[in-house]
Amino acid sequence: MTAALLVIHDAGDPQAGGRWAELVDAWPGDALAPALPGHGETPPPTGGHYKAGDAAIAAWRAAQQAGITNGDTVVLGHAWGGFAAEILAAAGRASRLVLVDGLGPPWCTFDELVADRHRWLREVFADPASLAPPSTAPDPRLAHAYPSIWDREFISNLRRSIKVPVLAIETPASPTPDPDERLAGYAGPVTLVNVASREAVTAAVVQP
Amino acid sequence: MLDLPQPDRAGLADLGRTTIRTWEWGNAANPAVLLIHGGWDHGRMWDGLAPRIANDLQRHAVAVDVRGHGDSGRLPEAGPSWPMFILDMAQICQRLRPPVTLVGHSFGGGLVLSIAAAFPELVDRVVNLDGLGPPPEMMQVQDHAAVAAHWLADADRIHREGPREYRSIEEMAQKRKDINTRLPYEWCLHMASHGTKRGPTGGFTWKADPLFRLGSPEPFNDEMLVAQYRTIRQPVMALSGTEPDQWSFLQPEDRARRLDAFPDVEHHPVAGAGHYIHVEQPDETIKLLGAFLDK
Repeated sequence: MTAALLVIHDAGDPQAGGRWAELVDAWPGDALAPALPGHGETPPPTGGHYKAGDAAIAAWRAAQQAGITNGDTVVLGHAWGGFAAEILAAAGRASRLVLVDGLGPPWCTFDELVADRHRWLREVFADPASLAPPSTAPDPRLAHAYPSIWDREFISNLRRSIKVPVLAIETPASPTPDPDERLAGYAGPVTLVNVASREAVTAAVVQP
Repeated sequence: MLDLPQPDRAGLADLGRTTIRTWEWGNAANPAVLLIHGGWDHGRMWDGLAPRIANDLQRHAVAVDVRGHGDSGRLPEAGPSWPMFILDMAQICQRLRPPVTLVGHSFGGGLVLSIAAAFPELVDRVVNLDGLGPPPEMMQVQDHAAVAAHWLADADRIHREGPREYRSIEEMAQKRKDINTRLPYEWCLHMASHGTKRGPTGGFTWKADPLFRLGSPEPFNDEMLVAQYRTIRQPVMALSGTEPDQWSFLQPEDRARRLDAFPDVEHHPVAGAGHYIHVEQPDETIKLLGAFLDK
């Protein structure tokens, strides 16, 4: 039986799951790229606040409703969606993990993590659309993404707990300075594929 | 029941994305002191201290129910978020003619420090009541796979089951007493009376959102806490109780190290108090608060 595919799109992506329509069509089994809360037709979360990783809950519920979580599920995360995909993989809910530009930006020191949280808070606080009830999709608050989570120790420990195969696809848009160093942290087998454009991602995911 | 004055005014602040319950005492023209309760508590935790802040110290005392607690808005489906709480409280500060003095207990003590760090223009000084964070070993994640699995499973469970229903408010007060052994029963009953609502089958449920118990797979550790404390420019007064309490987790050496991180801090051990310093020793708390405000 062919594995199912669950795609977790990037935070604030105006195309939401629609960006992955070609991949969903090309995947040989069941495939779903749900619009996450606050994107597309999916309502924002209660209270209109988002956090890094909450897409893991929303995407998994969408997959459960679609009936594609009963065994072999490949979870693909794009950019911030990669962190949510990694949580699902760490929790044992993915049979394989695919990260598209999802290995993360340069590591932050603790001072930088705190400074980035303050930056994020002040940007959102100064943006009236981020505080007002969300009336457009994607929710304007998502334009600010999330405060950094890129603490080397935390992410490395999370990745050491991921034992399923990992396929990392890096495009020219990737923020990761050294993908090989990041991939060395996973417990299971890893594959790195560099592609020249976003359009080449589908072929890299679907290839046997 | 405790014989405490009712708040002078109750309000609901519409923050756009959520609503925050406010309880006020004293003249609103006086400088504001914002009181933030601990986790699973609510704003009526301050019913003893707030009237004295209003009358003895001539301040506008404002207590809130933090989001997910009391009468305030509910939490997102993925559970609580520290930046979300900071943003909510920054918006409340903005409505109180900042800069505002912040007083926080336990979880609220951590929150007032984070608000002061992120929004120094909104806060003139900070009082922390036994809220300098969990001990370092409690923040060490041993098994990320288990944490991630538990987070997802617990979110599913709460989504499926909803809040637990109890037969009586007295039963809930006793349950509170069982886990807060130093908190007098009258206070447990007070907190339960104001912190419960009718359940769907005729019993009672806590107003606190069960989603508050969800942790988050995000970085949070001792070093981050200390890095944050180093950025706080306002004067900080930290109080801790001298009595053993199951909710006062921090070892003296860890507390001392964290206190060292603040550029401007005074620390006072309060004799005869455990975790609920302001409830157990209100006279000493008011005395120290008055002196700190007059500095």
